[in-house]
Amino acid sequence: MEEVKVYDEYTSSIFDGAENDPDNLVVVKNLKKYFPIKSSFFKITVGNVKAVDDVSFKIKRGTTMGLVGESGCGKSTIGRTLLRLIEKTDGQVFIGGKDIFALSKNDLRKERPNIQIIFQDPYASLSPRLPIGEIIGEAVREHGIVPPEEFDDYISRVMEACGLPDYYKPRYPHEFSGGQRQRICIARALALNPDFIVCDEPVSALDVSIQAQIINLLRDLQKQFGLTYLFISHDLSVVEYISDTVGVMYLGNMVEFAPTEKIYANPKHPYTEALFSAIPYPDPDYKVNRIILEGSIPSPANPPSGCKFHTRCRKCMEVCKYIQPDFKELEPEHFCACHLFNTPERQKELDELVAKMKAEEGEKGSTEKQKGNK
Amino acid sequence: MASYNLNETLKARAASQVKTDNGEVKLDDVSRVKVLSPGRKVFKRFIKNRLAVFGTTLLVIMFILSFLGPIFYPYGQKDIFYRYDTLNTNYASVKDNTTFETNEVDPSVEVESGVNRKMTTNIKAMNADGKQTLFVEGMNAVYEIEKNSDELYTLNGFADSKKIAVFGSNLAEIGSFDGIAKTLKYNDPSVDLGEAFVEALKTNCKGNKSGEFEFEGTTYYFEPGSKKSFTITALTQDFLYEKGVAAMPGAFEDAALAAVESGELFTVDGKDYIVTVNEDVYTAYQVGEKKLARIYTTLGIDTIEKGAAVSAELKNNALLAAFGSGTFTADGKSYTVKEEDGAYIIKDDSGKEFGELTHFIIRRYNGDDTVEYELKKALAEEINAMVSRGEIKSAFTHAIPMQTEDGRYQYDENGKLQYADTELRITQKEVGQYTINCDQITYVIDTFAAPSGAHILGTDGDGFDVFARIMYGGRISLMVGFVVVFLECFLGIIMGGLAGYYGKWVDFLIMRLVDIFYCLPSMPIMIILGAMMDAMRLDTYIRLIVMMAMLGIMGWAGVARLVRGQILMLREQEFMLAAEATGIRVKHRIFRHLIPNVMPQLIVSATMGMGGTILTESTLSFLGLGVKHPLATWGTIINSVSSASAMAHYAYIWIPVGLLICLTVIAFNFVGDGLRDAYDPKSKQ
Repeated sequence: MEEVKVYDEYTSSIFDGAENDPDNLVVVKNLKKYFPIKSSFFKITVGNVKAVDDVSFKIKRGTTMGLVGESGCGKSTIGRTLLRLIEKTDGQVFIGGKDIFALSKNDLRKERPNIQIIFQDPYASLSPRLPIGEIIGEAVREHGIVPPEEFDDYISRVMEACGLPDYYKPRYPHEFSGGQRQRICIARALALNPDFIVCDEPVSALDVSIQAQIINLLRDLQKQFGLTYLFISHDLSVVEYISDTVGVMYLGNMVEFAPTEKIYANPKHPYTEALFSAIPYPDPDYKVNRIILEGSIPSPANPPSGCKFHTRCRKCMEVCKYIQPDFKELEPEHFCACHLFNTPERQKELDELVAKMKAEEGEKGSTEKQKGNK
Repeated sequence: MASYNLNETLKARAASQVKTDNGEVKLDDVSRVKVLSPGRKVFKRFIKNRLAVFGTTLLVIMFILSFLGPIFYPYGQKDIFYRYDTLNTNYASVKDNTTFETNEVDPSVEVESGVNRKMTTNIKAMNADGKQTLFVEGMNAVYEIEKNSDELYTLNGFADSKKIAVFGSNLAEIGSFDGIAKTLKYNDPSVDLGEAFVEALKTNCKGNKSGEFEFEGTTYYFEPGSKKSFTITALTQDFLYEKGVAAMPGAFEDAALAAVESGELFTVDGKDYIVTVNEDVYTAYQVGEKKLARIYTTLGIDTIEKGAAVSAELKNNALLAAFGSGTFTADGKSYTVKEEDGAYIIKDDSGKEFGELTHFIIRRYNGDDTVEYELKKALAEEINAMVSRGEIKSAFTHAIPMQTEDGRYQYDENGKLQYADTELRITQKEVGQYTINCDQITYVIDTFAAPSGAHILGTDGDGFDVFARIMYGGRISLMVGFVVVFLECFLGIIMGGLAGYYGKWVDFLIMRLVDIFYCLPSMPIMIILGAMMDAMRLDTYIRLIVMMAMLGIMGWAGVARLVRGQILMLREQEFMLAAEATGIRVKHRIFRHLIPNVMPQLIVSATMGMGGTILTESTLSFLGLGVKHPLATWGTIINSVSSASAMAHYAYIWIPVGLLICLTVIAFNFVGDGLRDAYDPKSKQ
């Protein structure tokens, strides 16, 4: 791949050893997920869609990490890869100190109840031909979470905890509204007694009043049971409300990762800045200094070289076009990947590298020209 | 495991909460709403669809008709029904006998078969020459043919016959000429034709050829023999006596020559001689006592009493007496035979008529000589009249025995046969051959009977009850629909399920197989298979099984595609992902999440497919490729009236069956449509 791989050593070590801290429930190190693009007939891989490209973060037990970004930036892919619903391309995922991708199929199945997911679409994520009591309880029975004689009471209690009366049990999903269905999804996840729940845009399909109910429910459950969430959303207000830490993604890369107060008060990355400037403010007199990004998000199959954001960045420098910035800790717990925050020494080092690359490029261009003249 | 116990936490919380529920159901309580399972809901939607209910009712009626109907219906599918009908039947045949048949009178006289064979020729020759007697020679004996009348000739043999001489134009051997020694050796040493004859021989007899030459006004013939010798012969009018027979006196020779002309027997010196004529060659035989050997006649005896025994003696004596004395005895009884109105009537000694000599042979259609004498006589008269009129068709009325409906003769209370005047139609088939037809009540297979009380929908071309066959046919037609669709679904679910769930090369392989099965031309294959089964003479039930298997095998591809498509779609649904995320086993994922969601589409497609299959089965059976004739299916019933004229005239056979096929297919389609609408969650309630 690109020559900048020299710096991988630096990035790979950013969370090294973090999985050994029992306080860090989830540690993701250099996670990559590429989807191969195959030619139509011979099924030869002709390229990759880099849905998730070298993402690292960690989530402390009992906290919520918000994951924000534009559509198609790989948020949901991270969520699903964490659960190993899709296989990774590279990197490591530790949940509760266990390397998820090192588990055998059977071990993974046993580990499943600990890691749950709530899907975006409450209409599609419930089997239409099972009553909801069965939907919630099926996996509970399968994994033997509770003794069989307590099963019924347990399901009733879980449903009540999620705000569902227990007499809903024999009903079918089509009889419920979107909010109720999302509660059923939450109850299904919760019933398995999980440590970690990936909430994959759980409220984006719902109207605002229901959104608030669901968010509050999730918060209440977190308070009561000390759950850890990865909250994927593109709704920044919701993320601000629920999250303890926030990760910002752009085109498969994590561009900034910091505690909520820090990142909302002082966004470092130009993309984060632009993103947060779009948060509506409920005051008509408030002048928003809105940053309008030009152009559209590039294709993840053919991302720009250097910093992936440089095509739309208003603070773009020469170095951004050639070298991918390092994901580094600028302040304690505040991580960012941008050349703006390079130390002078490193900037110098990079400038030399850029000059060298430019020279190489020029050479290549001239030889090509010569070939063309011949 | 999790760092907390949800169950314990929830229990503790429930215990700490004060129960506020006082058991009353609030007004806005959702538990008031009646909950329907998806199945119940589908059912409710289905019964609200009028067409679907109509279709279901139709199908229920079809099934009751087909599977319960035959139990209460008195007739089976292969019961043949009969009825009585007046038919133009062949009553009798008449032959005007013109060939001379041999009646043996004296078996002790041997008649050579050659002579027997040549009788008709000889009789014709006699008629042409106007001769009353003719001497014929066989290989070893001579016979006399004697004409008694045009219809009766007798053949006489002789007790002793001896060939005496040959005369007339005859070749006599002179001698043999030795071609090497050039000498002539005479047969008769007394004859000498002189040196000049020998010289003539020398010039003519050369090489190895036969030939002739003239010498002193006489023609001589020479024939090459062995060792270069020649046999010399010359024509002679002389009597050539047989070896060992002394030359007879001139009186004999004169009498013999006279006999050539007269053709009569002559006597010389108390001995009888005859002469047979064969072109120019005459042969004289000495004969002994004349014996009657055979009678050749065109006549036969029709007895007045039906079936009365006629012995050979009676017949021969009657024939001889008819053209002779007029009286005869046979079997110890004496009879007279006299010509009356051109017919020879035989009467016994009491004057009672016994029979008649006639050249008409009249037999019933089955060859039995059971036609009554009166009728025989009437027929002979009518035929003679007809022939004299120069016609070939005629009709007259005569009494013949009445028959009951089941073909037996009718008797009155006294046991006497009942007669009825019937029109008898005579048709000349060829010269001397006539057939007699009349209308008679006959027991026939009741084909193409119109609908009546006995047969609600009439009978078909084989006398089967159409309604019974429709019911039995419905069993097979409906059963074929179910079995074939079951087979299709069985194969289709397995193959489509494998392809959809495992994907990759399994999917590729199965889908290419599906493509192949899709492009197989099913109709030509079924036609070839039908022809093969015809050639193998398979049992009709085995044919049925093979046909069902074939239809199933040809049809699974569609189901497989449907199932695969559904599974591919469902596999990507989030609830399948959720099931995986909750760690549910693959087995349960397939059977509790995938299959129940595929079933609605499958049920709809299967229901629709049943109508199509019934139609295919009917088509194949109609073409004679499926179920074979005696076994009823709706297709074979229509096939039984498949010709254009039958279709036009016997609409009551095929219209009800066609209607049943239509209704069943429509009903299946209505039910399928209804099910599809009922299963569609977007359809309005």
